[in-house]
Amino acid sequence: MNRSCYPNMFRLTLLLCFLWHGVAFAQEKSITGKVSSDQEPLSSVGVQVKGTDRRIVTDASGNYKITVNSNDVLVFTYIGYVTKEMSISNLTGSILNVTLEKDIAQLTQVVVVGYGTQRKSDVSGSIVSVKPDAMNAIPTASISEMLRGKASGVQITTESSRPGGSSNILIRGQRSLSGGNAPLYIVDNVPVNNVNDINAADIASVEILKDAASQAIYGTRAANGVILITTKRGMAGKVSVDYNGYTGIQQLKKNFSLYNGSEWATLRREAFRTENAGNNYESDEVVFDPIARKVMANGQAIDWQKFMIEDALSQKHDLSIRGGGDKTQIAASLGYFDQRGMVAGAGFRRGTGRINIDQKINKIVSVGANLSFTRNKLTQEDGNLNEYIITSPLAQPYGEDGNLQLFVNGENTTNPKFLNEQTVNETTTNRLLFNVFGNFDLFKGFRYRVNANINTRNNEQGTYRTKLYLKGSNIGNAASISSGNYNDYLVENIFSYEKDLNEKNRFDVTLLQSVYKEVSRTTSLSGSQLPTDILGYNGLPSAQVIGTPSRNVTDRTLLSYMGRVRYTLMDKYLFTLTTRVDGSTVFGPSNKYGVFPSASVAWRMEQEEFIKPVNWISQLKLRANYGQVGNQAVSPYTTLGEVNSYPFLFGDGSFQTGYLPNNQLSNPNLKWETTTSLNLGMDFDLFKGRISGALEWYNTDTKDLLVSKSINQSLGYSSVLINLGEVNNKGVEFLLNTIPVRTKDFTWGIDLTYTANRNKIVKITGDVDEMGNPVNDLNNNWFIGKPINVYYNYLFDGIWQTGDDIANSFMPTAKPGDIRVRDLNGDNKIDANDRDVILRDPKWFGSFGTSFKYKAFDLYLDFYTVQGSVRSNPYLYDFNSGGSLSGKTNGIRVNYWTPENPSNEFPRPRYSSTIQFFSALGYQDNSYIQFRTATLGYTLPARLVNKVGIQRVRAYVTGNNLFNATDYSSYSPEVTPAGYPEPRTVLFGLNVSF
Amino acid sequence: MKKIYYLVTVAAILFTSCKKAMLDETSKDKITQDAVFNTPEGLSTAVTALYNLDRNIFRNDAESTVWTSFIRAEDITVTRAGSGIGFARYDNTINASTSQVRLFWSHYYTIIERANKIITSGEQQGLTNAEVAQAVAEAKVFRARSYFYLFRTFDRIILNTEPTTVDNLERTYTPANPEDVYALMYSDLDYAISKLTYNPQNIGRYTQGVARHVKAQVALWKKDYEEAALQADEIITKGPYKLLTDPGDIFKGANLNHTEAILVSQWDRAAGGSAGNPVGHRLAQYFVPNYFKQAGILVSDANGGSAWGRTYPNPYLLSLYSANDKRLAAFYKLFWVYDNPSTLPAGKTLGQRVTASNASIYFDQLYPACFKYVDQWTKLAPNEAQSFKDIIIYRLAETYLIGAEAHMRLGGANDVTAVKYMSDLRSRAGLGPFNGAVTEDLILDEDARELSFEGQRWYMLKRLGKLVERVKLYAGDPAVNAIQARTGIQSYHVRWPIPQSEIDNMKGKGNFTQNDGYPQ
Repeated sequence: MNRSCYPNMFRLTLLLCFLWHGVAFAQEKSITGKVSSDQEPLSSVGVQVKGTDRRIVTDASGNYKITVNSNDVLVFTYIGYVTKEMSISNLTGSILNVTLEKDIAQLTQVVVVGYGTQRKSDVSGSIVSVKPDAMNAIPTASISEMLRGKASGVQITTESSRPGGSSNILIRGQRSLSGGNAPLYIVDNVPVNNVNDINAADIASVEILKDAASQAIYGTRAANGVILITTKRGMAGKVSVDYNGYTGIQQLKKNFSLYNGSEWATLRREAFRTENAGNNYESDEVVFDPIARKVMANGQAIDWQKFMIEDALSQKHDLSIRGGGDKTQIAASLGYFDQRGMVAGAGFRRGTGRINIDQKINKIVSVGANLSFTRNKLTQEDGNLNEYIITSPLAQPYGEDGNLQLFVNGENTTNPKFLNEQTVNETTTNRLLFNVFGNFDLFKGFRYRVNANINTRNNEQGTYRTKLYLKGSNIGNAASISSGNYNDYLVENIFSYEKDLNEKNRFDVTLLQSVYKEVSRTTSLSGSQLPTDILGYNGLPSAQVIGTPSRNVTDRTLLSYMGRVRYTLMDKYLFTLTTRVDGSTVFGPSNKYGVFPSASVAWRMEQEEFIKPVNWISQLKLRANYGQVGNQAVSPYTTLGEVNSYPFLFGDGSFQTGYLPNNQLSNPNLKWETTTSLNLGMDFDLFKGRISGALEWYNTDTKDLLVSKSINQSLGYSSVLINLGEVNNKGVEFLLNTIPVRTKDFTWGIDLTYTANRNKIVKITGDVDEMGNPVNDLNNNWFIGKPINVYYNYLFDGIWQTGDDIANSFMPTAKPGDIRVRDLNGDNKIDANDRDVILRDPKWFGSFGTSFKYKAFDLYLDFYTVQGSVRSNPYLYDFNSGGSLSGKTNGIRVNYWTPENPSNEFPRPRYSSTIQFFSALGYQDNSYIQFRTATLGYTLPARLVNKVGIQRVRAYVTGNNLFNATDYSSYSPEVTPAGYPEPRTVLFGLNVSF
Repeated sequence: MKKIYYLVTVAAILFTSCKKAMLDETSKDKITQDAVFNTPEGLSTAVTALYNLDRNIFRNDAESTVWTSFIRAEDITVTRAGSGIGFARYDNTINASTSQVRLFWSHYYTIIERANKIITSGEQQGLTNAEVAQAVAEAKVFRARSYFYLFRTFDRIILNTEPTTVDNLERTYTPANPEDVYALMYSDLDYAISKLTYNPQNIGRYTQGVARHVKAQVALWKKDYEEAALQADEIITKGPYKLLTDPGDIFKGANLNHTEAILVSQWDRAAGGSAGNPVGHRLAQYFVPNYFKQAGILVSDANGGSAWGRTYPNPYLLSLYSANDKRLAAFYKLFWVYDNPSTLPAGKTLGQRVTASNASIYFDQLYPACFKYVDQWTKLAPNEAQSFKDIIIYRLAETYLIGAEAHMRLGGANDVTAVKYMSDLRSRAGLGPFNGAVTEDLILDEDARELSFEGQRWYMLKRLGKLVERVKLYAGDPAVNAIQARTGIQSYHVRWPIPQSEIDNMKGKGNFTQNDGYPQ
């Protein structure tokens, strides 16, 4: 120690003294209290000592505890609520309960708009926010299914109801004919292809961008809408631990009957009788095989649906921990979902884990990471579920020895249960997402953000059929393994600057540059004649016959630049201008880059002096916007003119591989589809939130549609992909949230959505006929001026009856019991010109939800309806679906014609010949009203649970998919009876917060 | 602070320095057309692919009903059931929307366009290269065969020798002048005859023999009997082919590349030997009744294996054979006997002939079967509903009949060559030397006896103008109430309708309308 240290030591001591003095001077005490609003405790409210870093958040019951000095001020902040400051100096005692007011004007509520957030009041586009609360109680792994009925303009249709199945989302109607119509999903700023990997319990908010101006920042991928999902993040304060879980039972629900044994026997006898020259019944010896006759004699016909489909369990459990200090916040969760199939062999299990970390390094730099892992296993039953419908009921699933047998009747019809037990079909998927980001607040208002992500998804599907398996040419003892590897990479550089020029002028600028690359690889191997069943598909290497392996590699790269300027004038007039430039590998060499501009303007009328005095208007905003987005509908390598490989083994044993183009003529000039749309909207909030909602009108034109144009087969190809078509979508959307009753103990809310979209093909190929009229595409059933989704067929007009003057009619060769179709053009004959267009799309769809809250009880009822849509039901006419009335297969029971039963609904059964015009009677109205959800919950009294260290316990019962009112004969109106039945589920659940 | 600025600058430079090359695209897993059509090796692979494509005519849908549609529509068969039964009944389900019609049309036009591409590319590369010339020659046989099938089936067709690109899609469609179709087929086949040898590089490829055989068929159709005679004589005298001594050997075995075979569709369960991965054809079970429904009969290869009971030889066909005709036993199975002790019905004995209690059961389960495609060589189990047995497309016996007819037309019924050819064929069947008159009726009957169920008879009847007359007289079987064809057939049924999708597509582009008789 040298001398120069002394003065320093002295100063330090002095400083310590001062500090000590200071601490002694200010009186420190602990304050506790509860934050609530409308008698409801508010959790996660930020409580901060003004001017310090001391900050915590309230727990699940709204309680907080913080150390303050007697002259401090506490600031209470919560999104969507007016911030409140409370001075401690006037406080006597140590309890401070605070009531926060809802921010009706939503001045501070922010919404995610893509590449940043925006105050809800400043949003000038059409963006819907969906609260995740109601979503997690829908017993499915499909995020899309959870969004059903939650937002206007968003149509959800079931693609598959099987465990692990998915649903399609259509935002503001179908735009693309050949390209996909699925929206772009952005999860925590990262595009995600398979949204079902995300655990709904992790979601903090979902925002749906519906108009082109909001979507334009996502350029060439945004034409079908953008869904932004934000997951929950940690917050400073007490660590909160939440458990949510349910267990439920799934049951079969259907609205049709099959023929039972004796009904089916009658049908088959009629089918034979029709073809008997003398119109006589054949003997049972002729009509039925010996086993069918035996089953008829002992009366043990089988109902295959009952035999194959039974009730099944499903369950979901989620555990999450959130918390952190001033500099580090963490949210972590684990989830488990298990849905057993109602058919043996079907099932889906998924485990998820997620960690979101935010770390503040210094005043300038903050970094974060999101890590999420998903593992799931999908197992599938053998064959097609329509076997349960078409297999003859006069059959014996069990042999003499009491074991399941392969053939169930004398016609070698196979036994679905036996085959199901001889089959393994499982797919395991692992998905890991690793996302890191850094924010650099370089100077006031200026921020640079770098966002990097890698997402990897590996799956392996293995199938095996044992030696006992035999179904037609599907011979058993065969294995296949297919493994896929998918990766995407993203690097984004985002610069943003915001500046309040003065009280009246605020603006911000965002610039983006990004690179995104996707690579997908699949390898499939198959083989048969394995020496043993023991190893299942893992025995593939020992197969004596190895199939041709297949390998698929696709990649695409997207290079993007985006700029956005937002300007707010006097808090009344809001302007946004954006442009995105996207370059993509998949487009033809001359069309690599697309430019997508947009502009929008909004007028906050409630800020005007002439509205301000009207105190029942809290918000009234008019919006108008116009913009362009693209659809990257071209698949990788399409423009390159790829050829298929055609292996050939010559008679001398020489194995050679040939290469030729496939049936689609290659086109090197392909580019994106461009959607231009105008959107007008109004947001309103009246009587302090009692009535709020939005009204939208839009007009969308999509040009350069990729059309798979049918070309003359005499040119050697069936079609060519070409940018030709034009489609228009027009629609209105209405969203209304009301709270008719809001008292201390009782709250009643009603939410409505209504959507009507009109879709119209404006141009297909541009070809005109000799009269100069545009030519429709009859191969694809595309008609100018009609919607994309139509049927084109003869119109069913009843059944020819015995007394009818058939010989002199327009169908002179018909016989009584045949189908009569309409002679549409009245030329007294039936030919191709008598077909008519039948519209499929719904005229409108909507939802109705109502919630009641009485003290500790809550009740939620949710209805969904689709009106005016038509769907062809193959189960009413198609042979392979059991609808042909041939008596060869079972099927949906209908009122068919016989000489004794002059039905006008269905024709006369025929054993071997096909029935003409049969498909014309398959069109059913599939409008429906679905009672989707009913939930009854009870929250245990806080006093009771707090004693054991629990903040909150809520128990609930939910019924899902309770009934469908529809004329469409199926398990559900959106899937045919061959699809996996959409179950009715009743579940019991628990929410616990520690 | 400085470090951060530095970092940001580096990051910005790193991520913005993107080159145009980033957006260039190359296929990672498939070859592109450039590689195929611009090199001699590429052209060879393209021709190999045509053999694969062509094989699909035997399995173009789940029931193989495209190719069998013609067999069902003949005078010598009877059809019980199955998709496409309308072809056997000549009812209104044969129309422009019938799936078989479109499949047949598109099958051959696809081959034609690919052949056009190979021929045009080959000519651009230069025909002096031997590999190119070989590929072009094989492609020309594909084109000629395809046009011949289309022309015989539809009568009015579109003649197209251009490869299709996005720039030449706009066309005007007019029915081709038959003379132009003949001229193209002749010139294609002449080129192939000049370039191809009798001994192909790989068994199953087109040879000079195939080209000559097809040319003989075309010549008969054109009534150019001298050419037909010349080609048939050439094949019979100079080709490497020989009639097998025993008719029972013609369809025996998985591999049918024997000395009588001129063109054989190659099938095998191994990779590349089938339509899919591995998917066989259905002909083995198509012509065998559902005997397995009878208790007491084993499901065995000898009994017919897997059976669908679609189409059978009718009594008229069987009546054409004399009892000592070896072909009767070689090509058909006329009855079944009890051979399964474990399911033997009470009161029956093993070896006893199974009889049907009534006509319907007989039709379904015990009707005589055609065994030409029955397969005991490639199936994993008798029950397997597919087969990988080769299919004979042309064989020397047909060449003999073509030769006999051509010489008969030129030199009369007692023409020495015509009589000799007929005699050779009948001797092989065990009927002894023949020295009678070779009449058109004899040719027709011998064709039925020798080549039944081989896919050429419908065309022969059409060529001779006998289709409607013969179907009215003999098609089906009254004993099983299956004679709808006899009343159903109309004069317009000698040709198929043009596919409706094709008519729809050609509207406003020329004057190609539907064939007469079918709804316009």
